[in-house]
Amino acid sequence: MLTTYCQSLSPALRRYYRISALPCLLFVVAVFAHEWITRQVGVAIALRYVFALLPALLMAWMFALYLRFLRDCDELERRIESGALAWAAGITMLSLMTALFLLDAGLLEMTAKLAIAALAFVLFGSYALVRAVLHRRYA
Amino acid sequence: MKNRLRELRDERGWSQGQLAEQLDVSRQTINALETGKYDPSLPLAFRIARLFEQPIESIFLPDAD
Repeated sequence: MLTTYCQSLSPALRRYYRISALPCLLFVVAVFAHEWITRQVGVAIALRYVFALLPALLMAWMFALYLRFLRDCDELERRIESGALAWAAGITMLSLMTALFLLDAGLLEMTAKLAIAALAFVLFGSYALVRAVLHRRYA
Repeated sequence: MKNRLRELRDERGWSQGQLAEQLDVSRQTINALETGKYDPSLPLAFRIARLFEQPIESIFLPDAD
């Protein structure tokens, strides 16, 4: 079943999944390492900086690979990706402005960490959802 | 827009995957073209016409309004 699925993917998407596996894995490891380090007492500030910034560097690596995929993919894939990105940006902007005004009016209370995490969830979640819908539409 | 892509592909006995490979697109793109869910760009339409050695207007037919 996995083999059939892989064969149905375009060469550009197969290549993208293959080359982004390593940074994805390293990102997960870096996030867990960051969580562990931040809970330790007496860790040097420099080390805290390293583990706080490492996930962002790995995200930048994944983003560069994604941009390369966008350049290599065919026109229908590019239409699907640009549609998903546009919807995700719009939904995230709408959520951000709504949350901002609710926070400003004192109707919503949220820590900065939770707000940023929720924003990331909305961005990635809406991208994945719209992308799946568009893939289904053209299937 | 209608097209004769499936008919031309069947005449040559090619699978969607084989046609996709020759046009350097995904199999999903071929399927979307054949089912009329997606209209190709002009460069892709020219590539298809060149591959089947036929003029574009004999492969892609406008909808009757």
